[in-house]
Amino acid sequence: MSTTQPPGSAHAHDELPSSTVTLIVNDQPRSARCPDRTLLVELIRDELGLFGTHAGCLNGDCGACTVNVDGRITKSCLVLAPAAEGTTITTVEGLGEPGALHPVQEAFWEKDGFQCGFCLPGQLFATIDLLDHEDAPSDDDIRGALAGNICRCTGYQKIIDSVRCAAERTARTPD
Amino acid sequence: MIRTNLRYHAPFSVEDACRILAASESGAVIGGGTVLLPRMTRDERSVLDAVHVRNLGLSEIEQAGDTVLIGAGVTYTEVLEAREGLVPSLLTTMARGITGGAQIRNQGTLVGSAAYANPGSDVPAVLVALDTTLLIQGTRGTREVRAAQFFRGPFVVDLGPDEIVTQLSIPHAEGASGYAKLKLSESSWPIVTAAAVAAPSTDGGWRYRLAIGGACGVPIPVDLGFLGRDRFELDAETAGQVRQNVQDTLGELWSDELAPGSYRQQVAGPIALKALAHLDQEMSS
Ligand SMILES: Cc1cc2nc3c(=O)[nH]c(=O)nc-3n(C[C@H](O)[C@H](O)[C@H](O)COP(=O)(O)OP(=O)(O)OC[C@H]3O[C@@H](n4cnc5c(N)ncnc54)[C@H](O)[C@@H]3O)c2cc1C
Ligand code: FES
Ligand code: FES
Repeated sequence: MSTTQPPGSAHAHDELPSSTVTLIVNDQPRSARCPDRTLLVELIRDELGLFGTHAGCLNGDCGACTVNVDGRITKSCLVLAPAAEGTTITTVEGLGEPGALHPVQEAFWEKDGFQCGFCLPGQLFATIDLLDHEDAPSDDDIRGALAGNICRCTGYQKIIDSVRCAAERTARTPD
Repeated sequence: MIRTNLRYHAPFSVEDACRILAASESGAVIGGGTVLLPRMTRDERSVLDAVHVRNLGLSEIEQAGDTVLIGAGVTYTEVLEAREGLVPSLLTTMARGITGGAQIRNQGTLVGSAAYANPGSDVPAVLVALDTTLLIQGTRGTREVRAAQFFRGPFVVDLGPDEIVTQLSIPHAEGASGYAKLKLSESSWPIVTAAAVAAPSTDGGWRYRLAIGGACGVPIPVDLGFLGRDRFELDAETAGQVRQNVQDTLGELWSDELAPGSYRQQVAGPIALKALAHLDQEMSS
């Protein structure tokens, strides 16, 4: 991290101010060197090669870039990569895999909760976060929990059905 | 992608943070980054030195005598998770209503919203209604500014380029509160907000405070002295007087793409009454 560099000197050098970012991603220690201006979503995709996290608006609105950082769901376009130093991150690749999907992924699969899938990682993280806090969410709870995630394909109803199904499944799954 | 070749700093003391800001041609503090990062990505703001609050030890909500101190790194989620009774109910109600999903509540700070001073945001009027003092540190020392003086104009606050807001200091004197806002859709910025507080006074009665956000460039405190110190009744006469006081107090009106000033002026009274109705309800329960 470039905490010891002199301020205001960026234009004096050709070299971009850069940092080595060391973090845990999907239970694996990872490290990458990137310019300080890199967004966390860019680090995840371009440096770590985890393309399941999507870059949509880069404006905080769409939620497609959502990942879990230190236990909190986070829009990774709103974080500078060097600020992720020392964090523990889960991306959609860390939720499940073909043949062993996360129960929330299964519910979205079963209820057709996605079409193009662009918004899907964000919808999954928002749903998991909701179900971590609320075992039996009402429709209002579900709509509130998805408010930070925009979908241009489904019209949302299938997503709400998926979340309801996920709530039932996770309620039935013993810890 | 951010096009400025910025340097990221995460200093471990506020003094170091202020020194970095003072020495920079173009420095900025990062709280949660939910406003600053999109602005940098859109190239609306060019920053050479981005100074993060994460290691400054300012992520606590603490009780200090009869005030509650909220650090610059405290997010909306942390306000919502604070132990019962630690933060005024007005802050909790406001934090619950922040849109953009849990992600924004997890990332955005109250201080970041105050420092950005968007007229249509939720925090400014709430801080004025709670009679908040902002604790500020710069290279020349510390100072304190009341919220009503901190907001100087739309997107303009009383803060030097080397200064950081370290904490919000809120008198723990709120007995009950009410909050209301008008917005066009779930995800849009509020058009007008109203924050009402009833603080128990030493003589056993109440002191009422009301602040309107979004109608003007800065949050506007509205005089409710006519309510006296007793429990008020929100009858037609009181409602008329509240509406009148709101109209008399509003100064230069704020307009943006969401609504012109004339519309905000019309809705400010009804939104104030809605906040007072919530306050009334909370006092009754
Ligand atoms: C999708 C979305 C939905 C939103 N919904 C709402 C909403 O419903 N209501 C609402 O009011 N707002 C909303 N916002 C706006 C905003 O994100 C928040 O209000 C948030 O609190 C801003 O805080 P931050 O810590 O992220 O600010 P930052 O982006 O970190 O900073 C904002 C500004 O304040 C300065 N700053 C930050 N901290 C300090 C400090 N300690 N000292 C000095 N200067 C400082 C920064 O330099 C910058 O200029 C939303 C934003 C998004 C992206
Ligand atoms: S890309 Fe991050 S919210 Fe849209
Ligand atoms: S499935 Fe295409 S954006 Fe949601």
